[in-house]
Amino acid sequence: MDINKRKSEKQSIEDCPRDRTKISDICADITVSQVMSREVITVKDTETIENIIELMINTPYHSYPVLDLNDELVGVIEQDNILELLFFERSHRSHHTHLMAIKALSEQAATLMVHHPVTVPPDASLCDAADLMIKHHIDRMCVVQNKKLTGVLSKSDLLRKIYELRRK
Amino acid sequence: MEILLQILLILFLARILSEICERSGLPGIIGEIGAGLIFALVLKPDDITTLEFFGELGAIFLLFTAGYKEVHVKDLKATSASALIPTLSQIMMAFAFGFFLGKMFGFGFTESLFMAVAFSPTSISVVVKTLIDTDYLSSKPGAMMLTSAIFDDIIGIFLLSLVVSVATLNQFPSGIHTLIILGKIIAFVIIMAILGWKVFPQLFEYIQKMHTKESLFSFVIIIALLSAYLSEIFGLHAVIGAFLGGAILSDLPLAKIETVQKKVNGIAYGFFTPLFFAFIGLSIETEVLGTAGIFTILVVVLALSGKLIGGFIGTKLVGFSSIDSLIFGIGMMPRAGVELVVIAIGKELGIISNEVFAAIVLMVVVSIIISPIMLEMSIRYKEKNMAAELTDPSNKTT
Repeated sequence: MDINKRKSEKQSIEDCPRDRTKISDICADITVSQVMSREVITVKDTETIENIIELMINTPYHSYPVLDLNDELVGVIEQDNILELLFFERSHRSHHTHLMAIKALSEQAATLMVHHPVTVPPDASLCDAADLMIKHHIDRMCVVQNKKLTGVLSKSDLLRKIYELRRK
Repeated sequence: MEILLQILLILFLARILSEICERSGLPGIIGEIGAGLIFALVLKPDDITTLEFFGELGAIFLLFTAGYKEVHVKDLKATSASALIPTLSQIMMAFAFGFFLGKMFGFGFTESLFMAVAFSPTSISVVVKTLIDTDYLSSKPGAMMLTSAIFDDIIGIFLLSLVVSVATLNQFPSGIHTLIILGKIIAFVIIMAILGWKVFPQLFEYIQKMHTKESLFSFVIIIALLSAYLSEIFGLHAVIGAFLGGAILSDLPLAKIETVQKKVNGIAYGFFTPLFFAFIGLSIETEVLGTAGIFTILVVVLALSGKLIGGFIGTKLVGFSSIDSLIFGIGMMPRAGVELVVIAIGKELGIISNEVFAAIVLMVVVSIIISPIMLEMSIRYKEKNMAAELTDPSNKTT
């Protein structure tokens, strides 16, 4: 990048400093459905642990929505909880509760998954979703309408949208 | 002694002794009870009212976290009904042994009932480590132990709610009294279910938008205390409400966000429950220890054998081999949290004597120490027999 171009970019940043309030205002008018990813890799609740591990190896995600026979969202499987169960025998005694032991013995997504995923409706504002994700360190949220999964909103989706807005 | 110093010392001792126990392969709870006992023996505090209050809060948080973290309604539905017979058998046998022992020593109806209920539950987590080490977690008796433990907790809490209600009558309940008690329990459960189904999900949507710091965590704690208080209004003990409150929140996504769970764990296991177990140790009248005699020995023997025999019979009824039934029975022997909550309540209500209290604490400690050892021995015995069978098929055991 030549010096002149760098100077002109610096000038434009000084002319138009970052406006956080503006982004906050705009995101209130944007719905989650406008930002979420619609192409989602899901897992069936009858899926075996072997297939889930294989899926995790071959895809770049950390968590996968779990759907039942009616395609309704019933839980989420995360890398963390699979690893926790695979290494259950090595974990500290305080983790050896009967529920964890039952999960560790399980071979199916329905028992392995986290049953209480945080969800957001598609018409929720991006601001509300962002608040929730930032406040509670949630990386990915399932977007659900009438119990059906319509997409997934991740922190990357949020950043991508903010990047677009800032470039305008 | 200044209260701040009391809490500081007891918490410090509990952490240190718990660590020593954990490092020597024993559950930390023994160290925490020991901390209370040493604190009482060495410092002889005159006024323990504040510690008593923290102990009660500890019991509330112990059962709240049990409901919040360990109960999952869908898992209960999936649980095989075949576990019901062994579970009921071991609980009923232990209950009967406890009640019979109380009556044998001339205790009143309510005191005998408290002993029976204190004999009834199991703390399976004590033996999970042994099951893992012996590669027996996924075995037939191992899986049955885990399934049985789910029913066990629920039945234990139900028995506790019954016995606390009966304790207020201080006599054998008549038909109408029994109906009133059951009516109160059902009414309380219905109110909690409505709150959990209709009110809390809406409420948490608003809470998570609040601007005040840690609002979600605060409201989880508020609901723990509200449930505990509500159950007292219904004539049940606070711990029962706390357990139910926890179980209701256990399926609520916003109440179970990882960051909130970590904070609840921190306050419960880092502060309140060590104080509860230390308070149990502190509450043992040290003079009683010197007079421990035949009664104490019978408490230990009958409480452990009740579970062993009941578990053995129950699993034999569903078709287990004798050695698998024995393994299951031994796995049901350890006691810890709920049992200590039962006797703490009994003592608080003035129903159980210092002797009974000390004997049951001793039984809990003995059960925690010997159950894993006996379990490992029985599993090794089975494996030895199986190896012998493989080398000599004529040497077959049942």
